[in-house]
Amino acid sequence: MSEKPFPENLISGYLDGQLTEEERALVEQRMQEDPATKRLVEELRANAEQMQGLPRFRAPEGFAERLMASPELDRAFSELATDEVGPQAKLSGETSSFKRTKRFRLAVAAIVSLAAMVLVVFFLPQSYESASLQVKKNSESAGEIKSPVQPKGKIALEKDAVDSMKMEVLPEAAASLEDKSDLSKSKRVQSAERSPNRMQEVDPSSRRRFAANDDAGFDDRMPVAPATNEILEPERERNPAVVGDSQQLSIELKKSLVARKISEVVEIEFTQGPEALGMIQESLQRNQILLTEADAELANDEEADESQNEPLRGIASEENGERLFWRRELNKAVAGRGGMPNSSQAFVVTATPSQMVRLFSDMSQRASIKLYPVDAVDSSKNGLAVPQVELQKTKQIEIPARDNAKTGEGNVASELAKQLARKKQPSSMSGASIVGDRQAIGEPSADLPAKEQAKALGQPKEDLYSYYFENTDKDQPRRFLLFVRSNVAVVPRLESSSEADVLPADSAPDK
Amino acid sequence: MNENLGRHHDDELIELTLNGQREAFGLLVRKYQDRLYNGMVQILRSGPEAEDTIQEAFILALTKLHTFKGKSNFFTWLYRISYNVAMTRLRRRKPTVSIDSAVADVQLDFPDDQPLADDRLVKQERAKQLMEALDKMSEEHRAILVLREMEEMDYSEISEVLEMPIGTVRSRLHRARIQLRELLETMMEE
Repeated sequence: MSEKPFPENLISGYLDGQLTEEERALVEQRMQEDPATKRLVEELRANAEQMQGLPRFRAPEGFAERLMASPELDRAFSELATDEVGPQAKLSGETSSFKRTKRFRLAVAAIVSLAAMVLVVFFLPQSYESASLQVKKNSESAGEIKSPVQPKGKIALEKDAVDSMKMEVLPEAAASLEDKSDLSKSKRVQSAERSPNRMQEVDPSSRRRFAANDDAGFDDRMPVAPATNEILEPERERNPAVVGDSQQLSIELKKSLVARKISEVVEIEFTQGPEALGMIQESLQRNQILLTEADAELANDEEADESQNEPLRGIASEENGERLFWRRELNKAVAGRGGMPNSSQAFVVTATPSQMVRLFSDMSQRASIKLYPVDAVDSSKNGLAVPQVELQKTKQIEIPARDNAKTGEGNVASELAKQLARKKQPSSMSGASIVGDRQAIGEPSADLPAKEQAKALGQPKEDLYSYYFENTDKDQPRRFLLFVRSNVAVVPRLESSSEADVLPADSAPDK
Repeated sequence: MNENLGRHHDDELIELTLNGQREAFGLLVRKYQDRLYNGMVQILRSGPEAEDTIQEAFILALTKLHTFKGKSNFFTWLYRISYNVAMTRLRRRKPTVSIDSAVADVQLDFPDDQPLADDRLVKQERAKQLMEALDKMSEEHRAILVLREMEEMDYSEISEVLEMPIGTVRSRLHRARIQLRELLETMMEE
């Protein structure tokens, strides 16, 4: 004879009056039969009442006034006013003068955009070359690690691709980034003004991400891309297949990476749990790769065992905010293509291509790796435009994690061959021959000469990675952003304060 | 002031805001700032951070006000934005300020039915104990207790804010209550 266990969850529902008659009767019967349950109910009720009687905190004096006078609110209102899908249409049936003004502004904006587009297309060759050379000059004068932008490749791109290139000009973008920078500053000032005696100041790291724009070396007078990857959306909608991973990185992220002289992003996705992080550290040490910046807070998943992340603890630098920003943006990119990491981290290594090839070799035992250049969207143009041909050139093909026991070196290449065989060859992809000095791993076949394709496909794994660095100096140190993630456990919330994450869908049924 | 605000329906204020009237948005801010702030202080355990959070939430809400379809309660929608902003902050770093220091910084407002004078001192002592217990709870448990006991939201509203099924709300709420009880017991023993 087995007695059905009493579902204790019902007690809370009972206290809150959220039970059906049947459930309520069940709880009351249980209370009569079991004094412990009765006592529990009474205690929980008393605690609940006590909590209801807790003092409430009131917003600080003058909060509303400060908020209403803040420049952030001004901007929010101006965004509201220029929003194309006007909310007024939903809430009010009449056309107001406000809406007419808005339409007028939109019309003017459209004309200005069109004019700018024409100008850019006409003057493209000159500006393109000069921008590339400027970056080269900056790189040389800095005397540091080679810039990710390769003028030679870009000029070649220009010659081959100018006909098929579609420029998307974003005149409002400069204001966007400028605003963000101002917002950060003004908020800090306000914060200091209003609470001189705070016990704890607001974490500056949450705003530091904007600092990258300050020293990125871009000309403020030129229009720059917005802080989102929205300009990539139309292309993705038209043909999702041609948009490589690097295209899903926001331009703000790209600018941040370029400003830090990071040339490549390496995504390492573990399929066997976060303990594999230890492998990375081991491989870094074995290959004498300098871990320039590490992320102290390694896991997104709050419930994950923190001890699993020990390997990289203690070597973190102070600039955590920047890496959190990278990680957040990369998480968004991953989420954008259908995956969501369980845990992730981003850190920077300085290494030669030769060293990295060895690292990849170590990692491919347990992880799938993607490698692509940061400058897939041409940073030499300040993120001004995204030529369509460049969207196509960075088609990524993922090389899956290799199963140790069953596969050998050749399987990576054969998997690549299979994927390439499945891949269509759109005629516009002819532009890919202008890829420049580096191609994303796995890309080579469709648009390269047969000899090159054979070379890529026929190589064992290590040579495949070498192929990526073929036209680069293999002993020249470069900076790589390593984005390590694990998709093993249940998906947690992504770490992000982006609108997509914090805005509710408001899809609840009518009350 | 609050009485005057009460006369305006949220829908009306939202519509006026969307038509560019700042004053209407100001009314919405004043109407909900205290409740929102209280909730965020309880979750974040820091007055200054709670202030920054609701500031960010109000601005974000304004920017996206046109996406609010009016299907749910405006305050619930706003609270959910604040909650998500707060959770993001919490993930960035663990709280280092206890509720005591938060209390020192902010203004307290006892519910209307609270007694005064000596009884208030007793209540304050109990409140302090309870706050210490809350301080020791996980963010998830603390948040759901605040929503239920202090905000007096029903299960469906909590479900909206926390983006979880009602069944999960019920079970998590129960676990949170049990944890609070155990913490209070431990504190009494000490």
